Order: sequence, then structure tokens, then C-alpha cells
Amino acid sequence: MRTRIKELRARYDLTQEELAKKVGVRRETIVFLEKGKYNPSLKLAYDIAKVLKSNIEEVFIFEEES
Amino acid sequence: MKTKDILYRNLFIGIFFILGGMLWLSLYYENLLGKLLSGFFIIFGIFISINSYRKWKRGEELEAPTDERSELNLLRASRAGFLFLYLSISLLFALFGLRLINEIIFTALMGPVFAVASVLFFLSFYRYEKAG
Repeated sequence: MRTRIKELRARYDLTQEELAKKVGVRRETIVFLEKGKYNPSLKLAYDIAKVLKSNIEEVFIFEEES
Repeated sequence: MKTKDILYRNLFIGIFFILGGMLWLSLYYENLLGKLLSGFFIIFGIFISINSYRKWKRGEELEAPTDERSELNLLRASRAGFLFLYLSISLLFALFGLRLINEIIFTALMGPVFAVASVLFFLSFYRYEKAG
């Protein structure tokens, strides 16, 4: 899975810390999400997408494993 | 947990350490190590209490908030520690039952077993937090 969190964060001028505070997680969680090292719960994915004014599918991109 | 509840909890822990240190001092005042340990407990208790109160007064976070990722890592880490504890104590009981170790050794090994399980837990948690 890869994410567009970093790109969308930049669009809305949000730091990792600010985004983390808005969705109620630690900054480290946002770091791992951006690196694709952590799969969020549905609720967290929804909250992040809402803050970034996008749909979940636009923020989190699941790639088929070949 | 509300901020004020965390403050009360930290103050209680601080007072517990202070009283524990004073009790330790009263029991082991002739022993240098006892005096040092009791001094450490008292200072530690005072530090926790004052630090928590100061942070609360300034409106700062009293403890690092846990989120879903760190809670998951805590669960995974506790599995490692618990498994070691469970297997070790089972082994000790088996050895004790077979009379391969006596009561003194059985009791003496309990402390190290708990210590190793705790270390395993902290190391696992650190590893999982690093990995994501």
C-alpha cells in the first residue's frame, strides 16, 4: 500500500504534527503511514481522508501483489 | 484518561515512592546501600510529583498519548514477554515437581524470570515501534 498523504498535506500546508493532532494520533504514526509501513484502521483512514478533503481511495492506494 | 486523573495518579505514585523511601530508610538506616536506595526513592517520588504538577499548571501533556498503532505494538510486545514468563514458570514447576530443583532455587529463579520477561517486553516494544 502506498499513500498520497505527504502530497495532500503539502497542498493544505499541514505539518505531520498538525495532521496527527487533527486525527488524534502521534506524529510517528503519520510518518509510518507516509512510508507505507503501517496499515491504518478504517476509522483512522476515514479521519485522515476527511482532514485532507479527499476520499479514502484517493489517499490510500492499494497495489496488487504480483 | 482525563488530564486531572493523570495528575492525581502521578501524585499518588510520587507519594507512594516518598513513603516507600521513608519506610526503607527506617528499616535499613544502618546500611549504606539502604540509605542510598531510600534516598533515590524519595527524590524520585518528589521529582514525579513536582514535575507532573508543573506540567499540569502549564497546560502541557502529562503523558505521551497512545494511539492505535502504539496500542497494537504494546499488545504484540506483551505477547513476547508473557510467552517467556509462561514457559519459564511451567518449566520451573516441572523441574520442582521432578525434584530436580529445591524450593530455594525455585523461589530464587522467580525474580530473574520476571526480570527477563520484562526486558523482553520492553525490547520487543522498542523493536515494533522502530519498525512501524
